[in-house]
Amino acid sequence: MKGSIRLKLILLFIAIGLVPLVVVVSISYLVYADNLLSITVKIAEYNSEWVVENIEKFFRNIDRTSTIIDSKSANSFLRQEYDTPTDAWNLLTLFGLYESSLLDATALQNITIIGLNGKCISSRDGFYRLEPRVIRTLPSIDAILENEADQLLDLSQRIPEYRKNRAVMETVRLGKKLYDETTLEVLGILMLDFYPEEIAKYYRNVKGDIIGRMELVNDSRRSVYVSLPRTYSVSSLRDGLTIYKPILYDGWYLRYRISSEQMQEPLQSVVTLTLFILLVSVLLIIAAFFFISNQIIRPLQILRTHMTKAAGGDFSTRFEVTSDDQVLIGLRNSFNTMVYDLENLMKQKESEHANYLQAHFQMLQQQINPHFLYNTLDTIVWMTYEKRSEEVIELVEALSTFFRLNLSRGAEIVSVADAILCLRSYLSVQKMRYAESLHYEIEVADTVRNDKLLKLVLQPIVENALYHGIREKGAGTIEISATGTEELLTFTVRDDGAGLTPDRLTEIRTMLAASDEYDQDGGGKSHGFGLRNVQRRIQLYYGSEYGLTIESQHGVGTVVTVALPRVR
Amino acid sequence: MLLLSTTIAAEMLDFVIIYPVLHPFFSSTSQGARAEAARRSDVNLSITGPSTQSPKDQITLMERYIAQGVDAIAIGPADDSLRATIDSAIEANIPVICIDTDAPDSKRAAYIGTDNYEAGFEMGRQVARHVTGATRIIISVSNLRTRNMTERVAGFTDAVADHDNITIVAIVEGMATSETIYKKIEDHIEQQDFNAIVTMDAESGPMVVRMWKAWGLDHPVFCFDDRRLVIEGLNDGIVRVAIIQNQYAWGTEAVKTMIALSRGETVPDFIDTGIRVVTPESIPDHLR
Repeated sequence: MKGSIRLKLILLFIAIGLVPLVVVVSISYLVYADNLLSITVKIAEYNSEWVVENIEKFFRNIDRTSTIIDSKSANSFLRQEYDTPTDAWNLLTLFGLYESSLLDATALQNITIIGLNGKCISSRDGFYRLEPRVIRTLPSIDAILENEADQLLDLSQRIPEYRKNRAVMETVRLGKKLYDETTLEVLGILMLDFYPEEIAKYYRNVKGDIIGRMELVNDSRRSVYVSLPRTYSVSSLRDGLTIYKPILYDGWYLRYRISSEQMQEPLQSVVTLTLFILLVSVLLIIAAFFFISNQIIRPLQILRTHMTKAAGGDFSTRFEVTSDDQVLIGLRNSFNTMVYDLENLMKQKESEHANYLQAHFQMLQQQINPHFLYNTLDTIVWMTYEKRSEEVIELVEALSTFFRLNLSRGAEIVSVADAILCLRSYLSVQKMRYAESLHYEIEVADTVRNDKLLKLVLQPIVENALYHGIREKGAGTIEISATGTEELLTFTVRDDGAGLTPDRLTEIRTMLAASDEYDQDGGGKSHGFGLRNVQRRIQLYYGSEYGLTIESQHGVGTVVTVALPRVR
Repeated sequence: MLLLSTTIAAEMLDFVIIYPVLHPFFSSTSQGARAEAARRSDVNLSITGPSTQSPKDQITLMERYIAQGVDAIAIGPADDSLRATIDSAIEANIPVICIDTDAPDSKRAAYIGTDNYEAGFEMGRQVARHVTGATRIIISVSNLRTRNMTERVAGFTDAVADHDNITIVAIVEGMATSETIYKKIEDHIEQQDFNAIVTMDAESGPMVVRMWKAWGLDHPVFCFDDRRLVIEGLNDGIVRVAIIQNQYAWGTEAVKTMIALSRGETVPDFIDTGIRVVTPESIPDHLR
């Protein structure tokens, strides 16, 4: 049950945490993918334009080389059938000039002029001759001569025709017709060999990160690139991007291809990042859950075990909280106060119960006071010997009344009238014993006659006055009165007996004040013991604001006042 | 004492380098010299020379610097006529050293450069190794009054003397001028009296390479020095062997030696900067 609640809470936490995140990420992903596509296309477009511009600049530079024909030396070289070393010298000087100034010297491998008269010259190989008949049959020469447009032509595929075959495999060869300026007669062709690596510099130098692959391709390789669309085509990130940009010379194109993998690469990192964030969020939520659970649920679990202990009667248990959470601290304080109070209450209850049992036992003892009974029966015996049958009858009647009222079928509460009647019976029995040494007067206000009170409250007090007051002195009078106010029922037992010494009086008062102390002693030997028993019963039954007060003066007498609530 | 040394340290040393002719070949010598001088705050270096090879102009230049009272002079004497001028500088308490080419009869303190007889001898050995059959050689030099040229020719002649198939047809003096070289070698091409050529000076090597291309010749070519066209000629199969001098070291060693001399220290009579034999298969990367 506990586990399943935790699990549900965790799942709820995760759902609350992740659902908005997933929604935001998904939307961002779609927007980003869309932007990425258009940005990639724009950048690719820009980059390829930039590269094309540079390559065109490069080609224009090359094209300018064909003005070589305008020199007298070239014209004369190509027109004269015989050797013209001075023209050749001048042309080589001119080639050297082109190589070092006009073109990127590192890009240019060789410059060659092939005259239709059979005279050839190149910057690397110098002057040589080919059979004019053979020249016309060479496919590259043929391709240039057949080319109507006056433009550079790609001859890269025909390099093996080269006389000394010095050109490295990857050479790019461009060719162009050479005209006589005036007659427009074709005198020969100009061929330029380049290191493709040097041309590639123009697209390797694109600023920023360039993804994908740029290539210079040519119409002449149609067998490889079947169709060359004039504009770029884009489908989606999934299909990748291919851009063809035409270059102004001889069907050259810049082919710029970005594969779908390359285009989706940034998206991949977004996906990876997202998954990472989701994972971290789940871990954080779980961690947070366990943290909160420790802060709240754990103390509650501990509280529950304490509660169970307390319910089982173990009130010594205490609840400790390590958190500084105000709610938990309040809970702890309340719980601890509760069990503390309960513990005290239980202790109090236990001791009250013990007190009650003892008081009740003593009351029962009082009810059938054996000494009183023996003494009275002794009195009856010697009266019978003396044949004082009148008195015996009177005594037995009084004794009978006393015990009847005293036992009163086990009832705890009696009326004031019955209590006084019972007291009278007791006093008349005692009067038989003590004769002229004992006098007593009882006065009861009519208003209180029907009030109810705990039984055996007055008799121990009177007995006390008789034994410790009158008997000590030898003779005396006991005055008993019962009066009532609106709230209080008051009895006064006054004797003019021996009285108490101040020490003794203090002792008894202390004893009375400590009325709720359980007396292990239990006996009735002590002077004030009867009084204390009464005091305890009154306070157990009516509350501690009621009870006895005692006034005494040594040699003069003692007054005990009993204050009880009025119960009508 | 302290005051004296402070005065000396504060005094600038005026050095001058005078080439036989202002030719691009010496630019790496100047680089070396200037790099070495730049390491010292108290060296004031001048580099000069006649614009065409002319002993007279060289003497005029040198006399001017002697009159100025420079602290030391490094010179590549165009011919023996410089000897008196060198000695007059020594008399004026200006130490003189020779670079590139020597004037051993003068009172110059040291010679820094190639052992030119040895270099010529090495060239002879290389030619003998690379030619077969009857070989008629023309030798191109700047002129036969400059000592480094005569020494190289002497070394070369001694080296090929034992090879009966090798004959020296002619020695061409191009005067380090392209027009003269072109004209004189063109004559020999027209006469067809040779089938191999050796260039001993920095200017005729590149000229020969380009001329060979213009005429479509394939007579073996052997060159001194590392000019660009000579290296290209090695690449293109025209030049068979090039002997390269360490002219950069001439500059650095010249400045070091002049500093030592100005302090009154003794210096070695000859600092050999060495040569390097280069074939098409062994072109150093920095020259490609």
